[in-house]
Amino acid sequence: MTSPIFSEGPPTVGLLDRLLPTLLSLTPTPVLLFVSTSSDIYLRNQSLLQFQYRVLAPFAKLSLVTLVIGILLAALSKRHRAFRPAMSVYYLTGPVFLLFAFFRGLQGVLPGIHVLYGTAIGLAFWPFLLLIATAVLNRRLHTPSIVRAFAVFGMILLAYEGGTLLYNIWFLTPRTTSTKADVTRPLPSGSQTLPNIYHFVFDAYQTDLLEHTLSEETQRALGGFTYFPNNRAEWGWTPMSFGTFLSGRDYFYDRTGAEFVSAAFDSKASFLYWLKSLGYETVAFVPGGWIGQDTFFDRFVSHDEAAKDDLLPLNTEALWNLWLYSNTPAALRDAVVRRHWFAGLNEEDMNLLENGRLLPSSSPVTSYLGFERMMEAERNLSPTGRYTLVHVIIPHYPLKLRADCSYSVGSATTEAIEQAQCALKLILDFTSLLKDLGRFDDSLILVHGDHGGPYRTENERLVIMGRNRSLDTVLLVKPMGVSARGELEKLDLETSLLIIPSIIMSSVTDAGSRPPRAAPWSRSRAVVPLVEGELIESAERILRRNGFSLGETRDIESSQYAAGAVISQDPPAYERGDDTTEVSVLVSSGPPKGPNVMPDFVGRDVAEVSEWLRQKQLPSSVIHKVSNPVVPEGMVVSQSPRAGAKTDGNTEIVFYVNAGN
Amino acid sequence: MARDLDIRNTAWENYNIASFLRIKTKRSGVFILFESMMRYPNRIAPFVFALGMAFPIACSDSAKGNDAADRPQNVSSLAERPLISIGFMHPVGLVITTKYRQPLMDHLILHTRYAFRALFNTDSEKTVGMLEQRLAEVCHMGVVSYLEADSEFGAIPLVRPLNRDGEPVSYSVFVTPQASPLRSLGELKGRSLALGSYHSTLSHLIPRHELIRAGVALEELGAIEYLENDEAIASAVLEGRFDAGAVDELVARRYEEKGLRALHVSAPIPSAPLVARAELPQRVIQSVRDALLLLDFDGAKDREHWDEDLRYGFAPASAADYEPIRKIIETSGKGCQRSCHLAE
Repeated sequence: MTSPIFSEGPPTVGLLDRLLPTLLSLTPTPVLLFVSTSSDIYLRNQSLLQFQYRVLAPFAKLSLVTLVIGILLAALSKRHRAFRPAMSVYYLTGPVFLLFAFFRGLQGVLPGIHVLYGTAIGLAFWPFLLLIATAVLNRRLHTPSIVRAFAVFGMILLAYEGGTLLYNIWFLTPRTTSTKADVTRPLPSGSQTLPNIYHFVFDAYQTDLLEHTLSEETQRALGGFTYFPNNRAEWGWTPMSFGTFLSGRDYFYDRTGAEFVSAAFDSKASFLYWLKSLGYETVAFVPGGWIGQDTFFDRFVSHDEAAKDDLLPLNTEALWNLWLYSNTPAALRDAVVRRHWFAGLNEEDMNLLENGRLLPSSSPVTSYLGFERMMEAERNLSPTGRYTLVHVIIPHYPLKLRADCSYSVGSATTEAIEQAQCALKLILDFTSLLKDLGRFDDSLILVHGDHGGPYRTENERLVIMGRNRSLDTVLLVKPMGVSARGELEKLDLETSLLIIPSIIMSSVTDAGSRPPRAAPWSRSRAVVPLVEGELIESAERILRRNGFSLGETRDIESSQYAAGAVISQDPPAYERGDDTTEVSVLVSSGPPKGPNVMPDFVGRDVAEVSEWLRQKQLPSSVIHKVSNPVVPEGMVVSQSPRAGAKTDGNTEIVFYVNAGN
Repeated sequence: MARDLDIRNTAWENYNIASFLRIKTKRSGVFILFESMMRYPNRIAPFVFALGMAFPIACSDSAKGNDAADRPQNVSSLAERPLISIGFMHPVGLVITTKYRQPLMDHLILHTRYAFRALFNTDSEKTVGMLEQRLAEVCHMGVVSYLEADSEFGAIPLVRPLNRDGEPVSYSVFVTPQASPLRSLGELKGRSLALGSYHSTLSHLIPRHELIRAGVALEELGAIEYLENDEAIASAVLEGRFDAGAVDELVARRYEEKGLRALHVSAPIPSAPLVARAELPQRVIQSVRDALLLLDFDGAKDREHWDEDLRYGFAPASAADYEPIRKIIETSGKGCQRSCHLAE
């Protein structure tokens, strides 16, 4: 019997026709063993791996080495029949591995299947199966039809795996198209007269954590700062908390939570808008989750992007660990791998491994690396007229950083206190850098959390409490023009994060005043707050909180503003508030009313719509049925035109009504 | 271990700002389906199943009607409504509780300008935490938990649920096996008793108060143990592990058929309120309260499928209604302020 590999006669077909099928027939084994397995893990974790597809390089190398072995075996077995069994083993390793993966996938589905995967007998079964298969199929494997079948299989595998990876890398890997990530890019320098503002948000930095890490030495190093131990966040989770302290207003349930947060990033409600209008250059160093929130930032650097070079070896090692764990039979893994390679992992890490998701670097580590890059960039950034926002997921869970901010790859849980010590170290490192650069005294430095952690202090010890998290969060402020003399000053004042815009904007307003004005928290009405866009009740609360009262109120019809919303205010926002105690407002009374104004049917029963349509006898009206599992059957889910819009006889009116689950 | 809303154990990436604002960063569904099909043989079956399901759904009228891309831009929609989360403390499974609480959410959506969803916790301490951290705007909580929330960060009782007799009160019931020789609280001296956690009103605070009134000091009991919830107490008494236990009247009634009887029923106490944070805007509070008060006792027969502690309707609630309980806490000195947790 002749075969394309082992034929000893003169070639009857071209070299390409003979070698290409052979080469393709050799590809299933390396592709199944290394490419499929590693790309599967990569694709499931690609965002955690910062989309660094270069982490697959070791597996590509292994695949190539395996392929070279296959080529050598093919060449040797052509001349020496003794190599044919080895060649057969090579061919069959891929399919046997596929079978192994198939049964592994059935664990927990079919009873008893774990014997083949999780026991010593199972461990011996797979090599035994490979040898038996080789013995049985050794001769037949080398027939042209089987080799062609392997070649077709290899082609499909290559096309699929290659296609999958290329599709992900080409279409789904986020690319830094924005030049905002480039901190070296020259910008028109910020105002020469406005001092820098440094705004640090340490995620989940609970006051108790700071208290437990403050020593006499650190208190001296924080000289110039004022500490507010009675500070509270308004919300227990990050996006809403950002919404409150970027806008200085609380959520008033007059819009969706997402709209509230969004407004704090990209509308006049944000103090960033007002800083930019004053000529501040704005810079952000933030976690990757901030995608799309760069409206008011001239430079916008994600920690993932900034730290990608540091993260590559970490990610490569983590993917390698994950691959080993996922593809080693459980019996072998428990006996060897878990004892040696994974000895440093705790239960939580092991759970992540079991689910094929080991955080290679974790958010705190990425944040730390990003913070380091930010420190390097600081030297080259403008010494004046710059606002810098830094958000780090430290000391937030997971606990991965030691007191000196060192870490292990994807494992080794530390203590809450250690990660809090790391947070304090970063604050001290940065203040030290500012002192070296001569930027400390002039600058405003704010350090705070966005909410607390799950702790409370009990008998002077930090313990985990029964609730998810506390709202007690750190607030440290180093005012403009205050030098590093003395030590940390504690102020027993009840504060909330809503004070942040007031501190920043009053500091800017007062910059350069002679004589220097008192700190904003020590005097009432330091600056007029922004109330435009707020409902009048909310505006009144904001004014009261800032020491003002509501002055003259006038109503005006408006299609743009909801009824009850403040359209404008006098005096304008963020002016000095010394000369006035009242703020007058113009309030919307809603859109003009009349017979041709669309009513609001959303949330009402379809019967009301039918009655209204019957009365109006509108020719262009449609009721669509939709399925919405969270509202009652027959409820209007949405309508067009929206409530308050003007209509005429030709306006097409559409209702979407829940048809039931 | 409750896994209800334990955001402490969630990686930051899972609820970051981008995902909150629903910015799409994930792979396409079609691609994932294709990948599932090709990856390994054991994934082909789900793919075929998914394809089989997806095709008719994609072709259905409802799917076409639901397609946001087909809609005009100038629309008013339920999705634009501010979301109000209502937290419930319930020791049984999530699926059951969601099923029985959803009708209340439907009612509130229909009668207010807000969207509503139900959140669940099995732990009263975490329920107070939900309100404090604003993970929920309104919570249904025990009286002791409400008073604790009020003293810590300010809370307002909105309504009191009615019981099966149409009264806004609850009772704490001492239960004992039907064959038990016990006939009064006084006979509990030297016997074993199961109570609930320090946070519980009906299975801890009130029973202790009733014992004192009956002249039984805790030290005079043979044994006393604090169990996780009322169901655990009733089961333990039924199994004969305790001579008696104290539970909510709803639980006592459920276990009557299983072999327990009431040994002693407490004086009526105001029922566990639905509570809002004090800072919640007044118009939201008023709107939710008004919608809840539309549910009166007369309509209870139409609400057979609702959860039993909410189906009979509501009465208005005020802080003054709970003053007697506050006084009991103050006088007994065993209330559930911070010291309780420390005692635990």
